[in-house]
Parts: sequence; C-alpha cells; structure tokens
Amino acid sequence: MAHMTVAARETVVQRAMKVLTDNFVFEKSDDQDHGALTTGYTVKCHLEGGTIDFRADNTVEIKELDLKWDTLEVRLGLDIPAVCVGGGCLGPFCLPRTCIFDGDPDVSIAPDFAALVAQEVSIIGRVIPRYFDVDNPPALNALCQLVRNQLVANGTIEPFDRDEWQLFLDPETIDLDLFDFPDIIGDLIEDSLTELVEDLIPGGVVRDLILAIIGGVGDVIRAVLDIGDDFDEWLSDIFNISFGLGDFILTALADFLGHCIPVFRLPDPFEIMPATPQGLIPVAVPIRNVVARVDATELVVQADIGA
Amino acid sequence: MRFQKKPILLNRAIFIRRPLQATALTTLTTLIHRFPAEGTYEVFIRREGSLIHRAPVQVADGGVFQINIDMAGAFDSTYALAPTGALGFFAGSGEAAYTVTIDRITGKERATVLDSAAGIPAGDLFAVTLVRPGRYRVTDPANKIDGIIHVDMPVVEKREPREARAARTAPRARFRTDLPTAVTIGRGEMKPKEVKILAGQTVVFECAVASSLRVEPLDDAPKAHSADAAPRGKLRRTFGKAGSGDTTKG
Repeated sequence: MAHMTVAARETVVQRAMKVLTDNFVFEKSDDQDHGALTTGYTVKCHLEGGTIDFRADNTVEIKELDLKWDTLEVRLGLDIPAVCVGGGCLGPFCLPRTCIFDGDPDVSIAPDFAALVAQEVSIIGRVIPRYFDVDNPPALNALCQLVRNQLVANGTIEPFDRDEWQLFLDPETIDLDLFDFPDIIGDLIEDSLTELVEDLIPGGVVRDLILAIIGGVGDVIRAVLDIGDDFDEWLSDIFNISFGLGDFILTALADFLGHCIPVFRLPDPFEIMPATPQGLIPVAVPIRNVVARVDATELVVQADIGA
Repeated sequence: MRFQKKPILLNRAIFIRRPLQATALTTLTTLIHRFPAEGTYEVFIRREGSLIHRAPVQVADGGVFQINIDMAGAFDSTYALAPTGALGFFAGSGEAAYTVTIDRITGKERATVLDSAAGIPAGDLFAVTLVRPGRYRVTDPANKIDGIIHVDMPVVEKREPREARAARTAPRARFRTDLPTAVTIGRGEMKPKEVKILAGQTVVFECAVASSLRVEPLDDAPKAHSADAAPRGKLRRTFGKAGSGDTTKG
C-alpha cells in the first residue's frame, strides 16, 4: 500500500493547459523546389480555448482546442514552360523548333490565408511520472528548452534546479483537422497566377499565338502544378502531404505536453516539516514508486516514502 | 498578397515580317541537305558574309541520320552522318542572315555540293515556319513557281469553368505546331499550288529540281485578333464606319 496519496481536480491540468495555450507557438518556414514549380510557406500559429475532461479509462481528454493561424503564407512560383513553333517530322527528316521566348520567365505569388483557415485539435493522453535528476537531466529539443527557459524567466513555472518527480500528460492520440481550403481560395490563387502570366505575354499576334499553343494559361498552370480539377484540393494536399505541416504541429504538441512542461511536480526529497524559527531543521523524505491515475473525477498520485 | 514576375524575353526575330528565302537563311527557315554519297565533306557557315564556322563532316556507317545545326548557337567541331543522312541548318534566334557551303573532298579535289546563296540543290528540303497570319506568295522564277500559302490564326481556347473541367474525362485537344505540310517543287509546278496552315506551323518544300524559293508576305494580311480587342480592364464596342451623310436633300 502506498505511503502517500495526493488527489487533484481538473484545475491542476487546466493550469497546465493554460501554460500550453499561453505559450505554445508553432513557427516554421520552408521552400521546396520541384523543377518548374516552387512551393513554400511561412506559418505561425497558437492555441486558444480547450476544455479538459478526466475520463474513467485513466485518460485525460483535451478537446475544442482551437489552432489559430497568425500567419499562413503559401508561396507558389511557376516557371513558364517553353512555347515553340515549328518542329515535327516529315518522313525521316525532323524539323527544329524555334522558341518564342527564351530566358526563364516565371511568376510567383504569396497569399496569406491566416484569416480563412481554422482548425481544431483534440488530445487524449495518460498522466505519467518521470524522474528528473538535476545532475543528469534528460535531453530536450531546442524548442522545448527555449520554452522552458522563457517560462522560468517570466516566473510562470519554477526553475528546474532540484531532483523531482514530474507528471506529464503523455499524449496517446492527437487529432488535428486536416487543412481544408475552401473553393474561394483555389479560385483566388488560379485567378492571380493566370493574370500574372497573361500580363507577361505581349499583346496582339504574339499573345494569340502563345495562348493558342499553350491552350490557355489555366491549362498551363494546371500542367505545371500537376493538378486535377480543383486548385483548392491541390492546395490542401500540398499542406497536408507535401509540406507535412500537420505532422510538425502534432510532434511539437506531443513534445510540449509529453516531455517539455509537466502538469505536476513533486520535489524529491519532499519536505514534510519546514524549518522552524526556533532553529529546527526541515524534515524531508525521499519519494519513490510514484504512480498516477485518473478517474472520472480526479487525478490521484500515490507514492512510497523511504530510501 | 505579394507578387513577383520575371519578364519574358521575346525572340523578336520570330515576329519580323520579311521575305523568307533559301539564299539568305534566317530565323524560321530551315535548309535540310542530304548526303547521298559516303565520303568526307567540309561545311562552311557564314553570317552576313563572314565565316563563323567551318567543320569536317564524315558520312559513313556508324554516323547518325540527321543533325540539326543552330547557326545562331554553339557549334560542334565535327559531324558524323550515316550514309543518306542529312544536315539541317536553321537559326534559332536573332535577325542575321546565314549562308551555307558544303564541299565534298576527294583526295586533293574539292567539289561544292551545296551553296545556299545560289539556291537549293535538287533533292534537298527547304522549310519555312510562318507565324504571322495572312497570305504568303511562294515564287521561284527559274522554275516558274507561283503559289500561295494561307496562314490562319488558331483558335484560342477559352478558359473552362470549373464544372466543365470536372465533367471532362479526357484532356482538351491542343493546337499543335509540329505538323508540317509537304509541298513538292518540280519544274514549272508546285504541288499543291495553294496550302493552308495555322500560324506557327511549317511548310516543307521538297525540291525535286534545283530551286531558289522565296516566300514573302502579301500586304493583305488581316489584323491580329487581339488588335481589335479592348485593352485589359476596358469595355469596347466597335461600330461600323460612319458614312458620308446625306448627299441629297429630301
């Protein structure tokens, strides 16, 4: 039987979640070159809201956590393919092609869709204890270390300067809505790219001929981007798959909750009697065998006392 | 939204309105010279009269069937052709005129087998790619050739609405420039005498006799479609020309 039992209500985890929503910021930028197409993004998001639910199966659920985008800029650049006249073969002889423009004309746009995209996160995890040895601390990733340092510096959390038991909400599942760009965004991008490409082409015979050869700017853009019918679906796919932003966010959240900021900390040794003005020294006992469990109403932490 | 664009550098030589002829090879013309006999040859290329390239040509087994040489580009130092192979001469860009001479070398003897400044030898091909719509006249006084090429502007596809795109199961048919039209030049005849092509396509003259072809635009070329179109962002309605008004009372 455990020597010590501590019970805590949802407010303990709520405090941890407030630390999460106040301090979790995901920021990333990348560019990818796919030959005729370049894609890139600069994104920054934070979390808002969220409710906590202790569940009877020993898990904690955080739901209705809104992922709010401060910046959701996507960069698309197109190299316009060569447009040539002539060519073809007559019997065994083949004719050269002559290209209407040389150089490497290209266009790019960088719209920011932060205000138009909303996503929600839900997390189910277990509360697990980990021992923190101040002389041999676990390796943390750079982002986590940065967040910890900031939170300690601004007094949000106690410094990590002693041996202690730390309880983390270790995620078992995190669900994040897939990027789903509405039709209007697809149309906006296609219209912008079309207008830019058309502006590059001189008027008169040149324009008519180029447009006849390439079969319309929209078709060229589709061919270069290798997309089917819907721009918005393609855009959603590159965010969900090519960029893999969702994975980055889920990993960052899992690290933040599971390894970075504990929901509860128990010093080891644990002081059971403080020092007195009369000169008695404090009494502290070592804590061992910490176990945490959750039921529908509370978080229960049990531990043994002794060496 | 931020935009960036790197402008198009137009190959303006394509759109210059001028006669095209084998005696002065320019952008949009191609001369294909056949090598019916194996042996050693030497090719000379001149730009506006100045020699810019000279290289040996070996015609023997193991060579390739055809090499196209861009006279406005970089040159190879030697060419190896298969028997019955051919060299194609064209200018990919620029406004200069070129001439080509090819000598056959047998021992210490040289014999000129091609002098493009003088004309096209029998058996060679001369190709013109016509870009501006309108009518072109084909002439060769020595062979009493007088023909016509009609060049129409291909239809510019309208942008498809989303629903139409979604309903389509196959890609839209595209206008193709790589479908050349063959014309035979014989003594006193051009077959067919009239040719219709679309802008950007090529007419290839197969010269059964030595000839000196010239293809020149006629002045009745129609205006380009877009010339009458409203500028971007403007609404334009075109009315018939005003008459001279009433000339008699009552």
